[in-house]
Amino acid sequence: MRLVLQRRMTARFRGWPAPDRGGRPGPASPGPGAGKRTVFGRAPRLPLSRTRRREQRAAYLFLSPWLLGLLAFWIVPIVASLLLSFTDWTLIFKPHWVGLGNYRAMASDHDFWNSIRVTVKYILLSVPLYMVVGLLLSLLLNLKLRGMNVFRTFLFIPSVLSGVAVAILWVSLLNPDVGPVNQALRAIGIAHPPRWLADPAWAVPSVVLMGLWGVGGGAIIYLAGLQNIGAQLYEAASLDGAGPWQRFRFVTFPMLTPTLLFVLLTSLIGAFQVFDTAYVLAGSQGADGTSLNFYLLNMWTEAFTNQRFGYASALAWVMIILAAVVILAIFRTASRWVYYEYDPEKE
Amino acid sequence: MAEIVLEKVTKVFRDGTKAVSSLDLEVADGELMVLVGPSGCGKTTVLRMVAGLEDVTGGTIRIGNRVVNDRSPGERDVAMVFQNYALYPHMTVYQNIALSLRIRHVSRQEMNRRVMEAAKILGIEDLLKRRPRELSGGQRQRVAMGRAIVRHPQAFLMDEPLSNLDAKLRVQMRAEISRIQRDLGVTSLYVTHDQTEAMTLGHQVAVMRNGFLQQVGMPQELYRTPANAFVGAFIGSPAMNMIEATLASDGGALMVQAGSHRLRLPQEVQDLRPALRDYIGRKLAFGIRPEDIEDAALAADADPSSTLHVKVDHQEDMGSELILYLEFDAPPVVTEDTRDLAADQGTEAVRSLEQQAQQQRTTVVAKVTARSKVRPGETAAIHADMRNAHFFDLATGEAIYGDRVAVGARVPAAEQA
Amino acid sequence: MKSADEITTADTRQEAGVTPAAPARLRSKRTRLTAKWRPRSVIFRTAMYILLLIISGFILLPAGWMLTAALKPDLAPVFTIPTQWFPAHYWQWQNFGRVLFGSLSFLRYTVNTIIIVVGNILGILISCSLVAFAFARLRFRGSKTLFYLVVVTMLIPWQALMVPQFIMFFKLGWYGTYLPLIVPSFGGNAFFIFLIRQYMRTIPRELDDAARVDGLNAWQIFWRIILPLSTPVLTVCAVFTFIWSWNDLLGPIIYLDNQQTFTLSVALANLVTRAGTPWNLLMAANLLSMIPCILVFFFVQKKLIGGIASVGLKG
Repeated sequence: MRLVLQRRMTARFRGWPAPDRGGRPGPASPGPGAGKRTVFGRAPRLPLSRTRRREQRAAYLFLSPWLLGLLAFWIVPIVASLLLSFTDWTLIFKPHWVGLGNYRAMASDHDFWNSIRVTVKYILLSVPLYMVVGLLLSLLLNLKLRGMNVFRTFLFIPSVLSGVAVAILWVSLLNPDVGPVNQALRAIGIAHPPRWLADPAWAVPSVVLMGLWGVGGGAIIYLAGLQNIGAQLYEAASLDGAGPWQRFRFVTFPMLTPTLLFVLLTSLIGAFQVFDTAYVLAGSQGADGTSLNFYLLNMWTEAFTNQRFGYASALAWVMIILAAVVILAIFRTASRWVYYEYDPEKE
Repeated sequence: MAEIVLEKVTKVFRDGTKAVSSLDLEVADGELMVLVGPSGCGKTTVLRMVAGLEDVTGGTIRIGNRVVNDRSPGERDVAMVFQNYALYPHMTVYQNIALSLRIRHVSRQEMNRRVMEAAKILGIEDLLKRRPRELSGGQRQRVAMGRAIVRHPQAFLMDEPLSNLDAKLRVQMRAEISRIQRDLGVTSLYVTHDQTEAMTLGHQVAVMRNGFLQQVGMPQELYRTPANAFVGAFIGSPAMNMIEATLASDGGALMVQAGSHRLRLPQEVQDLRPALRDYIGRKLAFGIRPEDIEDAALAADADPSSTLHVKVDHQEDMGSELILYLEFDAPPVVTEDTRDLAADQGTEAVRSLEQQAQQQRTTVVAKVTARSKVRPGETAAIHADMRNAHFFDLATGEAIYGDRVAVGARVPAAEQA
Repeated sequence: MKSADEITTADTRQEAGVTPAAPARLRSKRTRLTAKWRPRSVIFRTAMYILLLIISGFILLPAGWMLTAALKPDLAPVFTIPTQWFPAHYWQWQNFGRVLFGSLSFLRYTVNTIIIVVGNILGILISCSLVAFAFARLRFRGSKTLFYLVVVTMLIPWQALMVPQFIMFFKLGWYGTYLPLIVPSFGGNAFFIFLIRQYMRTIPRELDDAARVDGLNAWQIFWRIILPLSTPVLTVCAVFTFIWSWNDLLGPIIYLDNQQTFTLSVALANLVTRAGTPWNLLMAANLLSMIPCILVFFFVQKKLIGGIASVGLKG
């Protein structure tokens, strides 16, 4: 029935008698207006054929591990986390509702504000530094010099090491009295080098310095971005008379902005996730642990050392909201400074 | 019995484009049917629907008398040869060919026997241990065919299998495909955009355009008695010349007035096309193939009523023949058909067509023998073989014959009600 | 009079009077300008090499110091003045053995870590390849929405779920076991799903068509065709998972309470905080824990960098 209807409708649409003589030579090609083949705006959603239904069943079978995992490890925890943040729970007793109590407590919690301070300080120091150094390093690595592959490999190795391993190494290196770093500094004439981890003011910068050891990882990402810039753009620029600096400013940098955006976002989110280094260093300092009390470390302490699960959940939600705000803010402004990929060779 | 029967098959895609419109087609058992048409005409979609790779929006498809609309490709007992061969890169040639048998749990010996048999037919026995990337285009094509043969399917479906080969190899493989199909006697549906392949390979040829079937029949029928201007111009290379002309009566005979040239229609043409009488005094499309135009000095049956004096614009000497480009002072036929066909050749062709229309002149292509002494710049005496003149209605594009159905077109049983 | 084919750019330029037609010899030296430019000046090149060496030094010297310290016997001071950057007098390779087999029993921790890492790799490869295949190759209702969901989960930091997941695992009785550290990876990871799907999409669809006509069903297409052709991206995922899992601290710290079950990262972290740890052994242990990751990295470095590159651009 439906088919007859369709045919009649199409015939009327074209003003031509329904062309149902397909086997014979005849007016098989309708006259003017035959170029238009679209029937109606969108084909109606027909019930799935047997093969399609089978494909759909198969698809959901393939997806089942992820769907189950999504439910069990994402959806349920997120909902639970939200609810928990409104409770006060130490796991032994039953949770009891405190509404916004946790959030209010946060406002006057020293540890909380300290962790915010530490994390923000870290962000302000590390993000620009790593991005600039990473970018410069990638430009360096992009040069066609012999043996460049070897250098790239070496520079990348620290990124595959664990935060714990790196922290342990640098704890030793940054020993204020006998550590190699301070010895080297004294050797070049700095009489009183910073006391690094022992000095609260220098604690966060120490962590930033440690991270610099692994800046090769970021450089590799920039490197990939650099190698994706079409050669034609440089040729055009140089025909216009641009020198190396101008080529960087007008071609390289703009074309790298998507990569920069990606790195910026991941760095910011990553800052909230600093744990390994913080845990090891804070532990090694002994009593003076507050100068490295990163946000996540604080949250972990509240949850597992102080057994305040409700409060920790509230902290988690604050983190989510902060991260979301930051991401949104960056995306909003992104369109102003990010140029999306335009590869003339692909056009 | 393994015929392929398509009955009122329609395909509408998700976004509303109607790729195939109510197609009726029948491929007899053991026959090689070539489905030909410009790109975008829907022929590949038809093939894929027969294979089961696309859903059928309307109509039924029968293979060997069973309706297969709802069956998965594997259940239809068809085999397909793809344009880009689609060989599994990580498997050897042997494994590629044998995969379909492995899936069906055919015994090791039987599998081996069948693979070797197929390999022998195609001459690829010593390639069995190699991987596709080590093979040349022609060899890959053979492996793809081997994969199809080994199943002993009810039908072969081929999707432009030769278009990725170079010209010489193409001719060779064409002959091989023809031979294999004949020897094995498997019903085959072959899709191509190359009308030369269509003419040389097919027992039957079906021309499609914009989702509609234009004409189906033996290659010679399509060549000699095209059903409409599209088929007329599509089949044959170089394409048929289409000129706007008027029909006049001179005593009892019909004359074709094209620009300043007057040509007489032989009686046999008038007999074949009685409907021409209705066009006396009217404009119609006059089609003449390049091969039907000859140098009057060398034509055996030249006579004044079919000789024209035309200026030669330029020529191409192919060695085996001479292609002349003649200036006719009649406008070309500009309809949707001719524009579409020009568009297929590129924007230059479209522009040239429009230019000619504007200037009321047509560049007529003629294929004359190499011995001709005609040179560009001259006005040459040209003989047009009017026995092979074609006429089409300017509005509908249909060929003008009469109330007789054009000779040779096969009417599928389903339609005869 | 040259025919159309013979006229070259050189000729047209000559006619236009712009540049004299450069002889072929010189032309070949003009390289295409890219972001990568071949610096011609020797001074510049040497300067860059020096810079690279300094930076490499920054990377390698700490490693060298660590090795030196690791090779020192117990009584020798690890911190010396002036600093010893490279092993000179002491070559106590047995320190490594002592770390592994002695009272520090790092072999046990290594084995524990290996168990968890292997479990994670299996879980990730199995689940992510299945899911990615569905998104890349199968047509089904809701595929778009579900894929957006995948992308969304990539943005949510795992730490936000730390507490409720812990409570759930605790209630299940999984506290103290390796289960909470391995089972979640069988639920897939959005990042890898995305990566594998992107890769699978580059496999020509014609292969699927040919397979379907050959009679393969969805599972067989996955198992026999797509999966074998996806080994490059699967290797990348395995390597990423290895490195991440090997170095993970937060997970084991939350869920492991028995020292026998500790992983390397936990053991190391504890060593640092414990008083009286011999520094040379600590450095040896540290070095040992780094080696597998470095080895794995060397093994697949080309593919790894390529994998990161393809992700970095999708940002």
